[in-house]
Amino acid sequence: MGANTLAEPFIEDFARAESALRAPASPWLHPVRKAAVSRFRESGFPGRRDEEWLYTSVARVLGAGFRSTPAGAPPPAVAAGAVARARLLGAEAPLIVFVNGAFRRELSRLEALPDGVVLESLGAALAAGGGRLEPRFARRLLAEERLGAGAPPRADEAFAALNTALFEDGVLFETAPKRRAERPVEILYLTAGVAQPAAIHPRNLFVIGAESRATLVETYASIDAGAAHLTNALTEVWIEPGASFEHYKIAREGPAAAHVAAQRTRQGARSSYATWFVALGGRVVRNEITLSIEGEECESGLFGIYVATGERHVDNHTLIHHVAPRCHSREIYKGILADRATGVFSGKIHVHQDAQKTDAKQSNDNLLLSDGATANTRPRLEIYADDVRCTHGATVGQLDAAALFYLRSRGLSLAEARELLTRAFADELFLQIESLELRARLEGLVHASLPAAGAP
Amino acid sequence: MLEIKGLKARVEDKEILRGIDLAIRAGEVHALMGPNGSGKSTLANVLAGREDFEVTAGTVTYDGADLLACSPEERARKGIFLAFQYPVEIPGVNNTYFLKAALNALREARGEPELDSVDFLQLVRERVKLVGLDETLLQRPVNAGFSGGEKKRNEIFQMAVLEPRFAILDETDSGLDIDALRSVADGVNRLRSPARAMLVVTHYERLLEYIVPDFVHVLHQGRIVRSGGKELARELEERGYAWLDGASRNGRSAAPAEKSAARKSKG
Ligand SMILES: Nc1ncnc2c1ncn2[C@@H]1O[C@H](COP(=O)(O)OP(=O)(O)OP(=O)(O)O)[C@@H](O)[C@H]1O
Ligand SMILES: [Mg+2]
Repeated sequence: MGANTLAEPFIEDFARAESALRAPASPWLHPVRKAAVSRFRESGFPGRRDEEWLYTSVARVLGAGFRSTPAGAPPPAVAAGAVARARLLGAEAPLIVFVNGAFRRELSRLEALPDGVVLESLGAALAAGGGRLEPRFARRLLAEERLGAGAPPRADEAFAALNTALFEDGVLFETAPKRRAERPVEILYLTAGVAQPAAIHPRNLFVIGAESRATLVETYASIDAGAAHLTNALTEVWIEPGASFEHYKIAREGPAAAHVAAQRTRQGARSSYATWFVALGGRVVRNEITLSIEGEECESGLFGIYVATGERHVDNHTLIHHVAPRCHSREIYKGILADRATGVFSGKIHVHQDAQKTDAKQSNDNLLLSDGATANTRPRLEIYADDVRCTHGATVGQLDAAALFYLRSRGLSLAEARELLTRAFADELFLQIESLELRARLEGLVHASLPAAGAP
Repeated sequence: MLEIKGLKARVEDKEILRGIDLAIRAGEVHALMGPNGSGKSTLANVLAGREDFEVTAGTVTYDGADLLACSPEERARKGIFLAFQYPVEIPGVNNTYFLKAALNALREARGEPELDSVDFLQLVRERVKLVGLDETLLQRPVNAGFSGGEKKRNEIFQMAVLEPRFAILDETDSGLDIDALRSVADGVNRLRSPARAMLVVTHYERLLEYIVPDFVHVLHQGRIVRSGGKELARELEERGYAWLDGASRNGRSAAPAEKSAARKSKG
């Protein structure tokens, strides 16, 4: 199937849903949607030779095809236990829940929000008149403007354009300036069984006010393991000067799910940002992060861990634009791949001309637990400033035979030894998390997802 | 307890062990000496079950059963312990956690109940003092960033906790300061009992002053070329190994000593 035959149903979806998608209180939005769909129509999906999609085929993502759920479909029933099981945080943390893309107030827990923190349905905010959101919505990053705005539509932006055209709901998260929201908040995107393979386009807007501090956990999970669905998420993050934001995203959808997501973040001066992507489920996962470091003296951390078994495919695609001088970025991605799973890491660091004294470090380490597993790793550096320090390194390896023998020589079974070493490989990354509680919860979640540690 | 007959082993195309005969009975301590590269560590690793070495001939029986058919963990559970010449660093695996898992695996194999955390900690506290290991190392990943001597002490500490029936010490004395040497020797001597045996690989006679062996063997080019009592160690200390070149050029002259020693060690 050619990339453009794949595009057709989505254009039809838009035509069908167009009137329902109008938000009269936010008249600026509809032209944005129409522009997005026309860009998508022009570019189509990325083809096999698209530089940004070399290792992941769109045909594989789309499989037998997904359609947007018709408006007005009855909301599926969700047991409270299903919500509790999908949560990373404790029951007391503020929570917003979406099921099949629709906000579910009765499953959420929004009473406990501290002052100065907004956590609500973006769809509702737009319906109520989201004029103040317009300047924050679907904007080019400064880095992209520097590289030439108004360029022709690009196929590698196809999924993002589709999200803009078709999204129904998502999260608006805002912290007021100087507001220290010490307790983390949580977002759950759940997918329940659907009659036909459904496309869901969650849309998030996070605005971390100047000198405020916030932590957010975002989980994508399937309630019915067998449900085939496409999640096509787009998250825009604004980190204002002096702010500090920790963001954890967990994708653990069922084995029939496809997950495509783009996260676009800009950082103002002296802000700090740590973003995590933990990929534990889904048939195909493609997670893009584009970070534009627009103010000086920022700290940025991009951390990723992906665990894949069976035939699963996980593609991490990151792009860090160092636009401003004297910023530090750290990027560490780790993959654990078993059976015939594939992991992809493509990490580009673009140091713009003015970004002197940039310090950027990138690493990607992959652990292959069986002969059939594959890791593709592709560091890319583009440096246009002369006084910078950039390093990158990548490894693809197996469990250390000497360490395995050492553990077994003390009495641990081969399976136990493999499990211990596999956990150790993952746990090193979690040392980057300051909060011991969050660290323990994430470790527990990842350990539970590790492949059964038998012989390869 | 352990009987090695005609053992040959190679790695890739290189034959390293070229016919080893050695019998070790319960209660005995045997020292294994010999020049660098003679195959001492290879023998130690083959006994512990390392798969990098291919056994091409010979047998090893332990408690009357075929040892070579056992996996490394089965050997450990039968009471075999190797203190490695070069203990491997395992970042991310906590020392205490690992040792508790190991001890409980061995206890299960011995039909003993699992130790709970309190009892385990008490045991660890006691043994850690015995071998003079810095207690803070227990909370670190296994051997990661340990000094050479700390790694060796950690091996002996593990041995003191796991209480093997047959322990192989591969140059545990190398790189140890005098105090450490003494505490290693104490750790070893504490384990000595009529039910246990030990094979101590060393280059130095000094260790053997603390751990007095019943037999001393000299390995050269994959064969035991001489065996004797503890006085052999002193002789080697004085004479070095130069005489071995003669021995290997003229294998026959070494052979009678080897045979008589083998007989002797069977006692
Ligand atoms: N994995 C391997 N691949 C190739 N050669 C090996 C391997 N392991 C050991 N050898 C070789 O086998 C020989 C014996 O090595 P071994 O480590 O057993 O010696 P050793 O007697 O313990 O020496 P040392 O006193 O230096 O510790 C050496 O020549 C060594 O290079
Ligand atoms: Mg050696």
